[in-house]
Amino acid sequence: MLQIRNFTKIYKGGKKAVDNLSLTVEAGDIYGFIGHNGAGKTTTLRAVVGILDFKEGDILIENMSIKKNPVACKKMTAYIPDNPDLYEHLTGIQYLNFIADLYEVSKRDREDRIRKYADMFEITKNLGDSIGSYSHGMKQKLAIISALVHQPKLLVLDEPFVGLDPKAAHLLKQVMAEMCKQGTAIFFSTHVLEVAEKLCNKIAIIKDGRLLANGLTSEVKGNQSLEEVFLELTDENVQAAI
Amino acid sequence: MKEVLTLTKMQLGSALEFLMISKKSRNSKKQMSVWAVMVAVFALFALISGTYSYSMGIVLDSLGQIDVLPGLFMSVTCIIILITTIYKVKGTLFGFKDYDIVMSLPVSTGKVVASRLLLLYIIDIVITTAFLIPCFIAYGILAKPAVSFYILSFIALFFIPLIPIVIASVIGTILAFLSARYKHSNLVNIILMFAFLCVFLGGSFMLQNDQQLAEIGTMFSDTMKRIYPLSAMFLKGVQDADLLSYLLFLALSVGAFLLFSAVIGAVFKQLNGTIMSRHVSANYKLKEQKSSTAYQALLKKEWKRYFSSTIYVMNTAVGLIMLLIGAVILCIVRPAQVEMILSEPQAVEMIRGILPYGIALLAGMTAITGCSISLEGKNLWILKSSPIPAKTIFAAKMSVSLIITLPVIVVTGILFGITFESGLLDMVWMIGIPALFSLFTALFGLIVNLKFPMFDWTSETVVVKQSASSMLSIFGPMLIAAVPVALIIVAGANETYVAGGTCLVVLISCILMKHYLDKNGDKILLSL
Repeated sequence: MLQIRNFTKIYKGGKKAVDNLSLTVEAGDIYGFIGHNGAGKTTTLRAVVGILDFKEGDILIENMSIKKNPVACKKMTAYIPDNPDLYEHLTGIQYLNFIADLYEVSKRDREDRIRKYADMFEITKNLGDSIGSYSHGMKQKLAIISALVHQPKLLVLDEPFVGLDPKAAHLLKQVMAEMCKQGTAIFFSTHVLEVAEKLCNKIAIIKDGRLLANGLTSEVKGNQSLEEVFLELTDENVQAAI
Repeated sequence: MKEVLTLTKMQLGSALEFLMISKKSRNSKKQMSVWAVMVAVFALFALISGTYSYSMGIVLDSLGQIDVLPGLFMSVTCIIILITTIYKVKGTLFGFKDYDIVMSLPVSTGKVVASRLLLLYIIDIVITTAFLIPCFIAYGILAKPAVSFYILSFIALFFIPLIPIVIASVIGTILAFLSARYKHSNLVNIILMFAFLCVFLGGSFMLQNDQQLAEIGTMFSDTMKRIYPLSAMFLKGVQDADLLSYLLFLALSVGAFLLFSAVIGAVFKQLNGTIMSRHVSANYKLKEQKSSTAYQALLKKEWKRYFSSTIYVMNTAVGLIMLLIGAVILCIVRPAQVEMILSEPQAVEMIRGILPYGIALLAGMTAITGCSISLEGKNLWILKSSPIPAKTIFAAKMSVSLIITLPVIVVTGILFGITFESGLLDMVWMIGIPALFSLFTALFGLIVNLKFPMFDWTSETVVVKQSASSMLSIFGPMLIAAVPVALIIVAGANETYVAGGTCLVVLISCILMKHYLDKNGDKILLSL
């Protein structure tokens, strides 16, 4: 579903944010992407969803290059950023319809999906209010529903559990597991290692823009906890002690 | 005071961040060009003011009324400050985006208010100096006043904007407060602002009803002295070196400003809470939904974005409002001056020739697209991650601009046509040239904003009024509209040829700009 091939991103000024990163996310995978702040996670996710320009390497979605066929690739993808900055002048329902229109979701499908997910995340009664009046958590829930309203084949999430209440976080994990069963590929970054360990069948660990480890969660962590593996790989002091 | 200055610097820092050329800057060339634009715009304002004040000064001097000039220009400057500050109140004084951060700092509310007012003052002092220094120089050349005039008027310059800011802030606060009660508070605020502007501008037009053209300056100045007694004090102070009047003018200006700061400081949190409160009903029930095409969805979103911001609407639509009010008054009310002009066939002929460019100039001020990319701000990711080609996104942004300007152009064109009894060809020029200019403005604004975007803003006012992109997109078409006028008036070129040539040049420019956007739009959008 998603192939990242030798992706390198150098920002103006020469900072190499991501260095020759390659990984593959298959349909049905829940792929966790973990690393310290500034490791290059958001840069990679933004390049995958076609927000960030890059020169070196390529990113393929269903074997189509995001560089050459951005519109077709984006049509299959949904993205939820770490900070849900949505149009505050629109009401919740106007925003959902706006996204559904951009992704050409039929009337019937959008009604069913909005009903299902808005009820699930308990924000149906707030959909008539302007997004500017929403709390951070409500905006996050709306961003999630807008991503689900067009049933993407690839779901890309940047720290999706930040700002969600425990119930909503639990529901989101359920939705992710359900989508994965239906063949959606999910690629998400997180700092919560317990979540990644329990939820993801595959994991990638990134540090200073370089991939340190990736593959099946069970293989990456072996007999240790993911936290131990992560610290071993990313903490230079621990590495030196070993 | 130090805290007030630090807060103001912080706010100005975000407003002028792009203009600051630091050692760290990686794009100093671009910043230099933005600085050049800002300086050029300031110089242009000063040049316009200088030209008008000198030519008006010559007329007034011949009538033996040269002493009216400083008061007249002071009055005009005060009106400009008054009108442009009223709609800056919401967004600068109240409802700024970093409210939570600023209010959590260990600084008193009074100092926060003082820093916001100081910000308004700094913006307005630029307008004041650009308009009044050339006028004082023109007056100096023509009236040869005593040295004291220069010293006193220069010092007074820094006090002139204070009371207009206070009056504008009071009116802006009342309008924002009144509109806050409604669900669509921004829309109500815009309607109230429009109503105020119509009454104000319409009233100014009507005031001149039975006066002769040459007397307008004197009459205007006399009226201002009655409405705004401080202008009389100012004039007495600087022209007659009456120190008592002068000091009274300074003291009243500072006193009013400080009093307003103190009063607002005391009720600031309460007022801000009321003005910025959002209507929440939390009783939505899911009904049948409607679907639209991507273009229609984008257009609806852009339309709602436009009318969600008072400053955006007021700043871009002011030219159209002036145009409509002027056309209605000239056609329906027909003041005495118009009747006088209409009895002069040569004057009518001249007006018919240059009127299309006058309409184009005012319509060209409606640079809605000039900040529409910047206003996406932190929401830009939504458009960039959507499966929509850039040309559809741009088409929706331009459509809003055209939907707003074209009907006004057609209506005013017809009204002016009736007033000046224009023939069919004149009507074609009267509507066609401004219509082409509005297309030019929409395309030009979009390209300028793509080249000079600004996303990390905390106040819409900064983007809409003070960004290089919005200034360039307004002044670019205005300058271009001046070229055919100069060809007709100065070079005496044939009006029909100039009109046809203008249409052709503007149309070709539009085609080239559209081609550029279609070809490079996706790449440019991705690079933002």
